[in-house]
Amino acid sequence: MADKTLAVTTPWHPTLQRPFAGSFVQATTAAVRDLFARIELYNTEDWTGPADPVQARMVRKGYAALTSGPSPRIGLTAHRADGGYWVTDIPTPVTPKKHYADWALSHESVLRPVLKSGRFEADVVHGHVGIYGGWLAHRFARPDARVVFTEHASFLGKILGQPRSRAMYAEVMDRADAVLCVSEKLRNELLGAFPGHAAKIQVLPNAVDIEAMPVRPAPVTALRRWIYIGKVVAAKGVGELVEAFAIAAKDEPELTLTILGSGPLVEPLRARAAELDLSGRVTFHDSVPPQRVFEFLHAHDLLVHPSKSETFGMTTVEAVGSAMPVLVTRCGGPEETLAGLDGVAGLLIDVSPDPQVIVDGYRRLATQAAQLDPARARAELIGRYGSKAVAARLAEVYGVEVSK
Amino acid sequence: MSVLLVAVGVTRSRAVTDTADYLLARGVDVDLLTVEAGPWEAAGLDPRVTLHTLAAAEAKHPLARFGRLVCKLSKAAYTKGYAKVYRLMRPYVMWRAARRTVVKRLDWSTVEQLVICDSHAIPIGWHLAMRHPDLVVGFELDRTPWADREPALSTATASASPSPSTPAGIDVVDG
Repeated sequence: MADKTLAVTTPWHPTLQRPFAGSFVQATTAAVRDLFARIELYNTEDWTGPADPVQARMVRKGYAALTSGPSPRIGLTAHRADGGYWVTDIPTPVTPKKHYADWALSHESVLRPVLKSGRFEADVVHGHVGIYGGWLAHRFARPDARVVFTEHASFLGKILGQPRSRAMYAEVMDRADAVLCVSEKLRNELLGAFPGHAAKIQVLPNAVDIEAMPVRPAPVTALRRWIYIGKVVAAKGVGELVEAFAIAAKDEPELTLTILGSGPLVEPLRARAAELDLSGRVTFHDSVPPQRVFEFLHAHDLLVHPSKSETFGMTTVEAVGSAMPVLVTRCGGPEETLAGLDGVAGLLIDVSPDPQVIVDGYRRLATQAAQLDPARARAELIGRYGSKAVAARLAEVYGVEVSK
Repeated sequence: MSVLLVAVGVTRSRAVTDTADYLLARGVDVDLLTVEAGPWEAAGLDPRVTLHTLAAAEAKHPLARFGRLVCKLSKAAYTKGYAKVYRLMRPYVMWRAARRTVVKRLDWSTVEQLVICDSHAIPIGWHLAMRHPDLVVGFELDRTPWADREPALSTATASASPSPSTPAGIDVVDG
């Protein structure tokens, strides 16, 4: 019987405003629920406020008046989440155009009055992202508590590039008993910045509930219906994708492309598709809730993910989890998530501004499609990122026993 | 009975529209105190929500009138002098505007909850909370009072719902 308690602190967790934020934190926390007698998650959600310092001060004053004191007007209380743990959502007014250090201190100031004893009473405290979750774990953990934090910020470079937040990060590194990075890329970044802490930095991905992902009802027989899922921004290589599709589509009139997502490039790319005479073959669709993503995956034959940089690449994992072939760039995360699965789950291609790289990859994949083994690829991912696999590794990191 | 939502802008519009939909589906009246109505239509707010906008009352305030006069006389003086000062005074002006509108017009005896929905709304929400010490106040709706009430299917929400089974907007070709 588990007797220890866990506190989780994160700036990302699903809320009414951001129902899909931090689903990886949600999955990872749910995965370890049986390891602890009680898990309490504190979600400090950014509420962007006025940039003007006087107005920002009035917001802080009003917030403090409403939430502090012996009988606060607004009590921020915990509710039980679907994952079987307790969640306290804490709106965190933040001022735009500030530094990460200022934002971290804002998160600290809103969390303090929520903690009745002024600290986390849990035996283990797990922060998500060094700044802010790691910082809060460091500031509020009991002196004898085990402190762990997971780094998954694609903006880690910016945090470490600002002297104040870098100094705060160094404090967090000193206090942490274990530092988990969701990718080798992030681990290398942290090793470069804090070589003295190499022994405590390891790669441990977020749990992904791949077991629950619906496998497509019919196997893919031809790679005719392409889909891209994600933000429609230049960094994701969507522009190159449309150009590549135009080249491939010339020879193969049955090819179609769906771009599922929102972003500043939607309209320019729609115009470009029209210019390329592809209006009937390239379809744009606004982003959908996570549970609807599989409807789209099942209605297509190939996920093309030409991103320039990814720390993990959740969409690729979802596609492989649903037994769909993928054509994905070696942009950081995907070569780790698909390690040993190149030619099994799909194909990895180089990051390049040249759309011909995508076209060549597609043509190579089309000739090898019969050799792909989607069932094996899915099983491999379950072994790496499935809830049970990640929970077992986290139990070691937390220093708790896996319950029988 | 009713619930008053306060949201100065639309930065957290999804939370506002979802909360309004939840209440309306359970037969609860919803009021929204905000600055302008236009952005809420674009954000998909149910038209049954009663809007209390502050823009007109703000424009009538002497400080705002003075600003228009300054602007007529000198654009530079407006930008470099007045606008900077007014930015500092704006929370005060907005609260005065709220007092002249929603504070006077709303039947507070029917308001069950006050929900402060965005960061900019915190000062006004705080003032309203002080004026009504018995009112339940939160940063999100306390749904407990309506937890057992079945939602009624409204025309507005039903027509806005996408098809549950077919990925909308794409042609699904049988493979």
